[in-house]
Amino acid sequence: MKITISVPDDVGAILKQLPAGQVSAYITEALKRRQVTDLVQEALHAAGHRHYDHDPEGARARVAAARVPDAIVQEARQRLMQQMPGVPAPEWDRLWNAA
Amino acid sequence: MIRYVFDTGAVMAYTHGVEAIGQILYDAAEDRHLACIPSTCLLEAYSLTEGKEHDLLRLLRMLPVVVIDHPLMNVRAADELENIGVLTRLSGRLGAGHAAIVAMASYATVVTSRIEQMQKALTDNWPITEV
Repeated sequence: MKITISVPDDVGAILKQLPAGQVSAYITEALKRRQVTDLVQEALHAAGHRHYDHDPEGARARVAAARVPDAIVQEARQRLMQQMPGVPAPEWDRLWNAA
Repeated sequence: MIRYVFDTGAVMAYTHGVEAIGQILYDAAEDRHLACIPSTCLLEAYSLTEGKEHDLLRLLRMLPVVVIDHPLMNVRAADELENIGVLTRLSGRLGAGHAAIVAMASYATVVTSRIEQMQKALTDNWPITEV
């Protein structure tokens, strides 16, 4: 589908800097992202949550901190494996790799 | 990429408008990652709620930033049932046991209202967000 749109000068400048043929993909990606955030905002609003402001850098920082360090994961896995001494190592490998 | 696992209390916290859950879900949309809800936690949440809250749970399940985990149960290959059973014994609750195995598999922070149960299933130093 081909659509003509108007954008502010500063947005137009961003689009003009993109490589030839990339503008549609760029705008499509931005719209899909916006669609997801709108859906989440609606679901949050329905449950009585406040409105959340666009803050991609803050989100990135908070999310980076949510990844559990490998040492802690291995400690928890070892603890579980000790509870189940009859399970052979290949089965554990299969399980963790399947996840 | 799964970054958070929602235990039963976290699922219920969404229906009650708890700030921490809202921020996690909105961050997931902004950063394009996923929050995982173990199916047993959803079942526990359904058993503890009714009416409008069930409508909200349906809405939550349909979000593109939410993925539902079902236990692996291929007895000849990857099978999580025994593990979840053991973790349930350690934690004292089925949902906590299931959330723990998902967290271990995905290196994810657990969001829960029952920290002590999750620590029994994981480790004392596992990153946990309390709601």
